[in-house]
Amino acid sequence: MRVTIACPEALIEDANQLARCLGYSADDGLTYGLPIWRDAGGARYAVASGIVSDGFAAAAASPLILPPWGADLEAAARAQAAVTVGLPADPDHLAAFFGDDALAAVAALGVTRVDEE
Amino acid sequence: MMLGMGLWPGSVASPRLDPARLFAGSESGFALDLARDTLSTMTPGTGVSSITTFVKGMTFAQATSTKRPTYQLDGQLPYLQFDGVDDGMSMGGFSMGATDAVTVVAAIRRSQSANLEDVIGLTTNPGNAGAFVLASTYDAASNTAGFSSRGSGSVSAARAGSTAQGTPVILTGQADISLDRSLIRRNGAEIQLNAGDQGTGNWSAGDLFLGARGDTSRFFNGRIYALLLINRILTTEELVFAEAWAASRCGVTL
Repeated sequence: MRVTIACPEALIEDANQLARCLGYSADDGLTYGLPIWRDAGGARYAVASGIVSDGFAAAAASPLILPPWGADLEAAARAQAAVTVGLPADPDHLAAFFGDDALAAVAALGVTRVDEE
Repeated sequence: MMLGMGLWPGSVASPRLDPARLFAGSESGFALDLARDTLSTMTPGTGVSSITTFVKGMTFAQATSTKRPTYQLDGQLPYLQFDGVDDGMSMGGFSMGATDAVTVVAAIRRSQSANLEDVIGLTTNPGNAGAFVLASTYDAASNTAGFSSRGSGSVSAARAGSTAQGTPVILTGQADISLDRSLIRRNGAEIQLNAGDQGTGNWSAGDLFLGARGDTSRFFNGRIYALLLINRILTTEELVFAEAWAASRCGVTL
């Protein structure tokens, strides 16, 4: 199962703390990178897309547990509270979309990549 | 058992299509072939955290789980699927040796995308001195593949025109900084040679990026079946051999 998540620029640090809690190592704290995606209104996002376990959605909505490699639980909780599923990206939410085609998911989230020439 | 001429249809064991023979000297580089490399997983649909190339034993890695390309099979042909969103791998501290020449041969298949996409590049910014990049989409406006390189002078880019989406293709880039040579071939045919002045100097030592630029942008959307990188200009005979090997890994007939 693949999940694609659009993270508003302002939530990147919090979202990476959530990724540390839900991921497999401290390196998952780098899940959300540069905000090179934009919505129709020009708001910027970092987008992550990857294969997750079947239990990911339930785990993402469950009380957070401090992983062995550490995380900022307050920041992670802020990100968790901002998660929406199946809705277009917006600057106040972490918008998640489940679907095997990452670029179709990106289209459903309503963001496009802005490449520097 | 001896087989007759023509009975080695690009099989894994074919001695006639083993790119290791191109590295008989002290060459730097590698040949990546998913049928022969050591991968962190060989379960289709799962993320690949590391690949150690079967020629030269070089390792590409991705520590962040969502950024890993997935291992996939197209019939009997294994490949890495990059999602075009955030997938990429890198090889840290890669050195081309004290050389200013390179040949890259890639067996890829683009998916649908209008974005700029890199297949492989040396250093985080191919605009820097001593860098090169092979891009499946080098120019967004013309949607063309390209290969660029640079010494101390200007970036010299050769373009191969648009490569079809959903069809495997062999892209070859060759560069020699001091000879002012940057060339791209598609499916065994030379498409463009740019003889612009690249300045002087050798390739920089640094990270080598697969499927993305600097792990942060120009994410490739498609498949990588096989890849060869070597720090010299291959002879015509060697180049034909290398492209035949790459073609055999993705079902292309040259």
